[in-house]
Amino acid sequence: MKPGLTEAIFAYSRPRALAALLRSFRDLDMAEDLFQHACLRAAERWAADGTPRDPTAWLIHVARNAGLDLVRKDRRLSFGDVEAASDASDLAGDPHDDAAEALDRAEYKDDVLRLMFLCCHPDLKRQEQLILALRVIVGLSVGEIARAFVVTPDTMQRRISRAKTRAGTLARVLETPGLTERAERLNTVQTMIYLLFNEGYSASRGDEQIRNALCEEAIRLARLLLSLFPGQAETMGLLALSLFQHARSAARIDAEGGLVSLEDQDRTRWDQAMIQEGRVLIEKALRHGRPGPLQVQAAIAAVHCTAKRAADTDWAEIARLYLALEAIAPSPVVRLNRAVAVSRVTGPAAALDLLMPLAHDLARYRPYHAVRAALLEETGALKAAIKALEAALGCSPTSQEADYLIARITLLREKLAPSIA
Amino acid sequence: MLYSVLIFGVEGVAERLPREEHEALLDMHRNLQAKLQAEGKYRGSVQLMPPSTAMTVGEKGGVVTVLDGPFAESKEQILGFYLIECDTIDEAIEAAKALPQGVATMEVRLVSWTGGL
Repeated sequence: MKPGLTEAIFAYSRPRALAALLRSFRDLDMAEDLFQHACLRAAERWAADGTPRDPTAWLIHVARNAGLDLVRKDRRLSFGDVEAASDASDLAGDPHDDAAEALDRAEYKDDVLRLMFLCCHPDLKRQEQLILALRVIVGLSVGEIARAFVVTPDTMQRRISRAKTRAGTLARVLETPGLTERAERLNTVQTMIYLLFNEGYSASRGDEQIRNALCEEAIRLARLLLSLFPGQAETMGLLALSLFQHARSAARIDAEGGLVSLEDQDRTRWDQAMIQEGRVLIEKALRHGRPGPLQVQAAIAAVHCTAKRAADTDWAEIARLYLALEAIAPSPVVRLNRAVAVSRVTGPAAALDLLMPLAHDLARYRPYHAVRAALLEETGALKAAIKALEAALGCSPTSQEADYLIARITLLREKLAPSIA
Repeated sequence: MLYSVLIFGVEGVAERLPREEHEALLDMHRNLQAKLQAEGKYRGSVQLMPPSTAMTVGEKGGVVTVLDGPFAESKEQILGFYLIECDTIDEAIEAAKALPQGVATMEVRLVSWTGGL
């Protein structure tokens, strides 16, 4: 078998196997070591004997037996470890043993959810959650994660170790959740995946290749979560939203590495397969009649993605969706986006009215000033527009954005000059 | 006689292959399609979206219910299929052998009836 396929199977199996091992041994480091061990064994054995029918079950079986050997050899067992060991020995039979398989299926979903939840436990800082998810669940190397967060590998290794120590103490106490708790865990995990996607999507740092990898991994995690809980409308929304955004990634960056606005993107370069998958997911989600913020955001992205040209965009629908989003998850940024949509439907004056209450909240938010500047310019209030652009300049723009803002200011001043003279 | 070659596999493994290996895998499909086309045996092929896009419609207690997700909860799912005009099952098996092995398992089955093709 080609090494690429073996690696692909390991990557696919990793979260599923770690989740099962975490249930048996309640130790994150041990689970990782055992999985690593099983992969080494697999690389030798599969090359000789061929790939087993269920490679993931094979890996779990070999890792579990190795873990049991370790536990048995350790004479100084605490009570908790003995329990863990006996729990694991029940499952240590043949990988195709019916009883073991049935047990696996019953608890499998909560196992994977437990592993994911562990990596984004509310006791962990936001960045710790992301790096832990990338290291433990996805299995990216320390070097790759360091590149994504633009720090040295040594620094990243220290951060990962710290986060793992914290998560490690949690591993022992995370029981199979009840219904309410499961919903809360799902929510937390969804938020983590959403943040992971955005970490890759926001072009602020890291090279393009690794950012792209973060987006792809976030999409895989969303897929994994949805395959475990297929009836979760918000998870469908999360996956749909990620797909709609990722579908545009090739058209989003120009030859010089600069961002291309949605309006100026070459829409023939959008990935239609991803857009179609996103559409069916959002249609499925809507059938549940339980809209959540991710579903509504996905619905907005769907409107953009299905417009053949920028001019075809159904802004009235987008304005309606932002109104719905504001009702579920009100925030100044959502209001700002609604104002943009309203300006396309009813004009700049109505949009400026909507922005009025945001002046304080978004005083340091560059897009707020940029949007206001454009709306003011449209109404002919050039002086006020220049002031807004200057305010945007004061919100630490990147050099590329600053160049653009300065060019706009110069242009408006020239427009204004004749009327002054 | 019309044969189907049903392709079963674990969703999300093939797409993790290194780019060149993934491309080689697609080439095997393209080559088979071209060969069948040239021989006048090609009746079509289908690649399905990931199983998470699926919905399952069925009757339960006299009521038609619609559920999220694929019908079978198994790890291996149907990923796509070919329809091939063959004289013997051996020919259909040859076609299945020409497809990428390892990432998927192929089921060869005679078609009983078709409409609309």
